[in-house]
Amino acid sequence: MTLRFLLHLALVCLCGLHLVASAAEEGRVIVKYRASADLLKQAQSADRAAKLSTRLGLSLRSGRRLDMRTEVIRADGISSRDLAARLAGQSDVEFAVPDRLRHIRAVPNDPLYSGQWHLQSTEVAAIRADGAWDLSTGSAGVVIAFVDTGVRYDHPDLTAKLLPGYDFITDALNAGDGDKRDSDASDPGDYITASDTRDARLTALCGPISRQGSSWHGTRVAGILGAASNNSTGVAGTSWGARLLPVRALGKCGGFDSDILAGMRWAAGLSVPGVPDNANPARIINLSLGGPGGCDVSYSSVISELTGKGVLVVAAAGNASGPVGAPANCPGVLAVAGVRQNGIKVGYSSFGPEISISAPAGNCVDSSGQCLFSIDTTSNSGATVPAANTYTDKNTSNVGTSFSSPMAAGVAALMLSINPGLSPAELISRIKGAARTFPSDPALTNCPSDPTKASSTDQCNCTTSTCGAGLLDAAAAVAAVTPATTPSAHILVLDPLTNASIRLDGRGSTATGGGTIQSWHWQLVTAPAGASLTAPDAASTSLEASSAGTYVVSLSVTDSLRATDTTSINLQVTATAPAPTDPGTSASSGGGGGGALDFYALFGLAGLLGLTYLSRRSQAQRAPAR
Amino acid sequence: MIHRQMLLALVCASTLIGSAACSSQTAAAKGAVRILIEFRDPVDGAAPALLAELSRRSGAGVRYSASVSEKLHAYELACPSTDANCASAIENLRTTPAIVTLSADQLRRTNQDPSKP
Repeated sequence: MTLRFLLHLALVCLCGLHLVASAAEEGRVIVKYRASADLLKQAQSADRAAKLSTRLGLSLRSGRRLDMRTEVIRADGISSRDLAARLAGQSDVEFAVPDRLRHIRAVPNDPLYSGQWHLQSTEVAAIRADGAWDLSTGSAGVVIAFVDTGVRYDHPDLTAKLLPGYDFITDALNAGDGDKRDSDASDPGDYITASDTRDARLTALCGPISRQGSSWHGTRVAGILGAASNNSTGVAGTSWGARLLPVRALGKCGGFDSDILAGMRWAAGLSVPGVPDNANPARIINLSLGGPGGCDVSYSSVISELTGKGVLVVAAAGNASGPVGAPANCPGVLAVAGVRQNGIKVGYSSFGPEISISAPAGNCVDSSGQCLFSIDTTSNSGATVPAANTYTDKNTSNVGTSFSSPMAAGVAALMLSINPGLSPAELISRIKGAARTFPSDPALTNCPSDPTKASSTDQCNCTTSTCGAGLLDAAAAVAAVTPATTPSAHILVLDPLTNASIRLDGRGSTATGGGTIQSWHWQLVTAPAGASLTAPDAASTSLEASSAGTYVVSLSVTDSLRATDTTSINLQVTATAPAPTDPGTSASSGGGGGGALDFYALFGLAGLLGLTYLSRRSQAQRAPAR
Repeated sequence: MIHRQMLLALVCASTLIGSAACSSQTAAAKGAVRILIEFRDPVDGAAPALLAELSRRSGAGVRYSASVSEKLHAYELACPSTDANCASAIENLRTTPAIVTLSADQLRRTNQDPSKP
């Protein structure tokens, strides 16, 4: 009779996060003692910990015992990695590995996140921010300035992220707030009334103007850069951690270079006559603004000054369907063009050789009245003056290269959170190097090499000479600046129900910093007598379970840089009545791999902490069929 | 604003440089040409003496608008009818030794909501 087993995941240890020790840190290590270890003479784990404490000069605590020879040891003020290294040096210890916390793939709990297709990984042009968040969700030490219309400070999804900004609008005529430069960067609304259109002084300043409602443009840009995220409210931002510095320079009909440039310099921490210095200098400045023409010497001079100070300037290409506008066309700027959800250049986006990268700009492919691929973000419902804070959606759509640019700025912020030493040129280089290849629709032509010949409504296939290096890829860009530490071993448990042979797959193991996984080694750490592993040095193996019991299997991987990582998985196998076969089900350990898989891993950790084993049949989430 | 108007009035009264500088007080309302001037050395961009000198050099009314840095300042030019687009005034300023660069102070707009999704 064929044995059938019910598999429970109980334990996941392992790899991936490498933390720096601090006084508040707790090191957690899984230790397996040698069969001959004197320590095993101590029946109580606490006694073993006490003996090890004496030897190592650390205050160790015993944690959960996994079997007679394997247990968790904890200590304060030391990293898991360092503690493992200290313990592994003991002659009694067969191995000691960090007992690391694993998470499901970073998915924020913001209720509107499901509509933020641009941050996810499904659509061709989506920026894969969810993958980047596995590596970093950003740091409050990184400040992103946005030179714009100001911001609604009272927006609940922004208020905690905003720094005191400044209003640089010199001319009270178009400022909208009745005054000139001042310390209030809030957005009073950039509406133009019918009477405004008849105001000779305003029209002299602005040129021809027509009646329009408030755009809340700065508030929209701010939400894309870094709305408060994973806070069960509204939307997620590209960088969850970055702080946002509003610099108001655009009023009723836009803003003058003099105010924009002054705002840029101030944002970077440079002095501007008559304005108090900025106490929170930005590393990144987003410019979702522009105009026609070449890069004026005033811009090139200020941008050069900022770049020399380590500040990255990110700018939107423009919506003219033609040549890239200024200041996106200035040297040293990360210029961002707009693409549709399918990666084809959106008709309105400007393009040309000055572009660095392309990102979603929003497009409304539906004639039902809804905008299917709006870039959802924070906004305000006021038609003129501020009213209730709200969010854009398919009905109050949000499109334009204005919203491509903050995605790239947010990605740069994530990169700086990992490596603050990156220069603007390095950021641009890494973002471009991590870009995904443009798709090509055979029904379309390539975007013309001369942007002045483009039709305003034409979509076209992007090339590297018209739309930059490729599609913005947050996950790849952040990975590209993540220091090469260790690879990440990952075990996927495949379809364990059919019989006593449990397939284990290590092909999901990954390497960072340019390495690739070169070898795999499987080991039975704990198992009932008679159990075995097939092909222990292959990427995948099969555990031949001999009987019910606890099976601990470890996987060690080595990458091309000769760095190694080890993970293990605890399989609780219980003889049970036959259960219906569900070949689409699998489970995993490790840190990457996809939300459904790691959902198991999370429960596995709960098992480690002493909770009841998880029944496979109770699982609500299933991994996709392989 | 009041302070600057007073300074300009003072310049007009004390230097008697004529109608060009004084007429600059109304330049903004007439769609003045806006420029950015980068000086070779740091200057007080709003100093009456500087405005007077710029006006003398350009032959236009000059009104201080804003500062970007200690060297880079924005001005509005109100040019005589014989130089309606201020081409001569700008060219005159370009050749001034104390001035490094001169560029237009243009209006920029957001890149939101194109009407061609």
